[in-house]
Amino acid sequence: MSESETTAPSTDTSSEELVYLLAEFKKPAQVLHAAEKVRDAGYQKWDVHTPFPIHGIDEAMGIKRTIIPWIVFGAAVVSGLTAFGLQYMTNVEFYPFMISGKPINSIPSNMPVIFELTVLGSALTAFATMILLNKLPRLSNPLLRNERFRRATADRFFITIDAKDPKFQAEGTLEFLKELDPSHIESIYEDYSTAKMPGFFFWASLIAVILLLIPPSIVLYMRATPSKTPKYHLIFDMDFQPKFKAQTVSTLFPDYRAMRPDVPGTIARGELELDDRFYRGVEPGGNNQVAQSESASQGPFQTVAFQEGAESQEEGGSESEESDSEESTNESQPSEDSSEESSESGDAEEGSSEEGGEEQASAQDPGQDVPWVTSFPIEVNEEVMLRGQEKFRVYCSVCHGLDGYSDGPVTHRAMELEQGTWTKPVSFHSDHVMKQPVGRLFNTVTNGQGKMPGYRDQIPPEDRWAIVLYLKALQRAQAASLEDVPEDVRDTLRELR
Amino acid sequence: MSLVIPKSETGDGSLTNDPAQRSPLVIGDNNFTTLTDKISRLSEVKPPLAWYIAFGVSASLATMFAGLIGYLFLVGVGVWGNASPVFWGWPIVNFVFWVGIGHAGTLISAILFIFRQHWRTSINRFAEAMTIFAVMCAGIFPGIHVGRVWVVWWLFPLPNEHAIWPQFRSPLLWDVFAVSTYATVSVVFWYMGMIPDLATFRDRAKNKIQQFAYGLFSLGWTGSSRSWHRYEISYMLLAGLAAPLVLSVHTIVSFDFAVSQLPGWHTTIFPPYFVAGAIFSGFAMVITLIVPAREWCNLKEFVTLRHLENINKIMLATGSMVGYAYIIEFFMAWYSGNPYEFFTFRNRAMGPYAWAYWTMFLCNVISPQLFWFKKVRTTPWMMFVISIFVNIGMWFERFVITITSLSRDFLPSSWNYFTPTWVDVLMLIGSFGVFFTFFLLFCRFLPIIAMAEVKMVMPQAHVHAHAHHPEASDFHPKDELEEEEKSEAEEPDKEDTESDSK
Repeated sequence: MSESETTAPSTDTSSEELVYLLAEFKKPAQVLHAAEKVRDAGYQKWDVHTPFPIHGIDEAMGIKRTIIPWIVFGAAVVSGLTAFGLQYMTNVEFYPFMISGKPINSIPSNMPVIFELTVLGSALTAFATMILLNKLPRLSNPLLRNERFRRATADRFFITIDAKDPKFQAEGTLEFLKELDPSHIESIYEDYSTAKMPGFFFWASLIAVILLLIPPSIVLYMRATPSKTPKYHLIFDMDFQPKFKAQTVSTLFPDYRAMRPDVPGTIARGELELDDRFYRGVEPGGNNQVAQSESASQGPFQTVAFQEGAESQEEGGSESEESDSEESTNESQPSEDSSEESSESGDAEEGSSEEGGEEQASAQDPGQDVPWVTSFPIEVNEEVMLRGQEKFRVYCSVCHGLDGYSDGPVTHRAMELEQGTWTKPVSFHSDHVMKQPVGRLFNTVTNGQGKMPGYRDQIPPEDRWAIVLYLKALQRAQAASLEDVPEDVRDTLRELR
Repeated sequence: MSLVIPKSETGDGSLTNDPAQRSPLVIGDNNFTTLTDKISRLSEVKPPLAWYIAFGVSASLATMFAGLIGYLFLVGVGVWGNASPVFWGWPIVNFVFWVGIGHAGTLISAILFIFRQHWRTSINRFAEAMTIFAVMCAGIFPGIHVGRVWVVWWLFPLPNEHAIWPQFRSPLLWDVFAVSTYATVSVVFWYMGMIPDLATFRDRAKNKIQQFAYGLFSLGWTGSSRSWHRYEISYMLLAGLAAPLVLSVHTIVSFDFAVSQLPGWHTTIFPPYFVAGAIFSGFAMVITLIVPAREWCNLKEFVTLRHLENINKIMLATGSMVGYAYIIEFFMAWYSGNPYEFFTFRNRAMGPYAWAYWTMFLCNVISPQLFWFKKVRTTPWMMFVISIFVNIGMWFERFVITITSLSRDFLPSSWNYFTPTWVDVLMLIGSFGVFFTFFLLFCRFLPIIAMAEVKMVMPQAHVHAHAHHPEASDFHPKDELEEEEKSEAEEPDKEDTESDSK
C-alpha cells in the first residue's frame, strides 16, 4: 500500500537480531487474501495473528488439520480403562465386601465413574495438548514487546514471517510483503542483551528453596529422634472415649468390675451345645444323678432356649421330664461343675491311692454313676487318630509323656526338684484309667482332673475326641501282645526285641 | 458507521415478529475497536460505588459463612437441624440447589455451542463463571456434611493405612466423581475460553501488576492462526465432552435419591426431571444476574433483548417439563398402586409440608407460564421478578424432595417435623455471600463477555471471497450469512477511515 508507512529495517547491532517481519492489515478479508499469497509464495515459517479465528484462514494458510482429536480419543480410551481398573482393583481385589446384595464386580454400578473419568481425562488432555502443541505458555516473545502488535488481540490483523524461514531474505521478503498491500510493515528484533536473569531472581529462588526445605527437614528430624512425650493429637477421632475397657475397675457396679458376667440363665448365640454326647461325653437323659444333684446346688436356672427349645424336645423325646429340663437348662455349666466336684473327690481319693491302690478308688468314684458314652460320637478313622496324636503331643505329652506313662518332661523336672505340690499324673495304662469309658476320658480332657486344668477353651470338641481316640489307641497298643501284630512283621519285632 | 444493520424495525435492537428477520446479536454502532474498548473498560476503570457496597455485603456474608463452618467443625453437625429421621436436612438441599444452578453455564457453553446457537456468545462467559461459583458453593455443603471433615479425603480412592477403599457401587461416590469432574471441566472450559480475552487485557494493561497477572494467565497468547486452529478444535472437543457431562451430573445427583428405597425418591423419572430442573434453575439465575448486570455495566448492546428472550424461552420449556414431572409423579404414585408411594405424595401436597409444596408449585410451574406472553418475555423487570420466583421455587423443590420423604419414613414412631436452626438459615445466606463475592470479583477483574467470540459473530468478521469451502463454516449460521449478504451490498469502505481517525 503506497500510503502505508514503513519502518525501514534498522542496521543490526550485535545484541539485536531480526526475528520477524510484521505486516499489519485492517480487515479480515485483506489478511485472508494476503495469507493466500504468502502460502503460494512457498513460505513455511509464518503466521497470521488475529483477534478472533477468521473463517477460511486454515485453507488460506494451508494449515493441516491438527491431530488433537486423535490424542483426545486415545486419552478417552485410557481414562475409561483406568477408571474401570481402579474400581475393579479396589472393590474386587483389594477390599471386596458385600453391600446391598450387589455383586462384588458390578459393571453397571461402575459405569458412572467410568463415564466421569473418561470425560475428565479427555477434557484435560484436550486442553493440555492444545497448550503444548501451540508451544504455550511462552511468556517472553519479541512480538509481545511490539507496541503495534498489541492490537492483534483487539482489532488488527497481522502476518509475521519468521526470519528462520528457508525462503527468507531480508530485502526480498520485505518487498514481497509490501506487494501484499498492508497498512504497515515493521521488523521485529529480539534484543538478547536484556535476556539476562535479573540478580534478585537468584536470591529469591535461593531463599524459596531454603524455605521449602524446612518442612521436610522437620519431618525427618521428628522421625529420627525418639520422644518421651506422647504424640500430639490434633484430632482425637475415637482414640479417647469415655468408656470402660476390659479388665478395668468401675465404680458403677458393686463388684467394681467393668466386665460384666453373663446374665444368669442366658446362653450366648452359637453356644447352645445341645448334643450331650458330643459336647459333654454323657448319654442324654438316663440316670444322670451326679449332674442333677450338682445342678440343683447351682441355683435357679431358667429354661431360656428359645427356638432351639423345640429341637431339644425332639432330641430328648424319650427322656424324663426332669432330665430334659436339666439338659436344656444348664448347657455347659453343670457338667463342668460336676467334673469339678468329681475331680475334687477324685483328687482326694487319688491322693490316698497315689502310690498303689488305684483299683480301690473306683468304689467311691462319683463319676461312676454318670452315664458316660461308651462309643465315639465322631467318625473313627485313621485320619482322626493321627490328628489326635498330633494334638496329644502338643497338649498332653508334656506331662503325660509321649506314650502315656506319666513321664513327660514337666513331670521329670518336677520330680527332680521334688516339688511337694506336684501330683504325678495318672498313667494311662493303669487299670483305673483303662476301664474308663470314652465319655469320661473326654470329660477329663474337657474339664480337667485334679491338678490337670480343663482344655475346653484351647481344644475344640472334635479335637478333644480325636485325642481320646488316640488315647484309646495308645492304651490298646501298650497292652498288645505279639499275636495282635500281622504275621509278616512278627519276625522283625522279635529281632528288635 | 461500520456495522450496517438491516433497515427494519429491529435496527434498534427491538424484536420483530417476523421469524425470517432476526435481531442482530450486537446492536448499536459497534466495530471490533469499540467492542474491545467497551468490554475492557469495565475492568480498567474504577467500579461504581454500588460495586463496593455489593462487594462489602457479599464479602461479609462469605466471612460469616466461613465462621459458621468453623463453628460447625468445633461443635459438630448437631448445630444443624438434622435429626432423626431427617439426616440430610438443609445442607443437602443447598447442595442440590447450587449444583442445579451450576448447570446453565456449561449448558450454554457446550450444548448451545454444538447446536450453533450464536446468541450464546454474549452470555456464555457470564454463565460459565456463574456455574463455577455455584458448583463451589455446592461442593462445600456435602464436604462439611460428612461430620468428620478431616477425613473427607476418604471419599477419594487414595491409599491409606487402613487398607480400605471407597465403595464404587454407591451413588454417593458417583456423585463425588460427577461433581468434581464437572467442577474441573467447567473451570478448564471457562479458562480456555478466556485465554484470548485475557491476552486482550494484557495488551491493554497499563500498570505492572495487571501486565504481570494478565500476562501470566494469558500464557503468551498471540492470536496466531495456527494456535487458533488447534484452539477451535480443542474447544469443540471440550464442548462435545462437556455436553453429556452436564446431563450426567444432575442425573447422578438424582441417583443419590433414586437408587435408595425411600418412597418419593425411588422413581425412574428422577434423572430427566432433575436435569430439566437444573437447567431451569440455572437459566433463572442467569436472568437474575444478567438483567442488573447489563443495566449497570452498559452491556445492552451486547446482551440484547433477543438474548434475554431466548433465555426466557428455555425457561418456559424447562419449567413446563418440571411441571409435567410434578404431575406425572403424582399420577405414578396413584397408578402404581403402591400405598407407601401414594401416601408420600398425598403427604407432600396435603401434609405438614403442604406450604412448601405449594410454594414450589406456584413458583416453578405457574410463574414461568407467564413467559407465554411476549411482553413478559421481553421486559427486563418482569423476567427478573419471575427469575427470583423460580430461584425460590427450585430451592423449595429440593426441600420438598429431601425433607418430606425423609420426615415420614417407614417407621411411624420415628416421624418428625424438621425444623432448621439459625445455623442452617445463616449458612444458606452465607453461601449466597460466597457466590456473589466471587461473582463481583469476576465482574471487576475478568472479561465478562467473550470478546473474541462476539467479534466472530459480528458482520465485519465475515470474509466473502472464501465461500469455496462451506463444510468448514463452523461459525456461520445461515441466518447471519443472509444478513451479511444484505449488509455487504451496502457496506461502504468506511471502516478504515473510521478506525484510523480513532
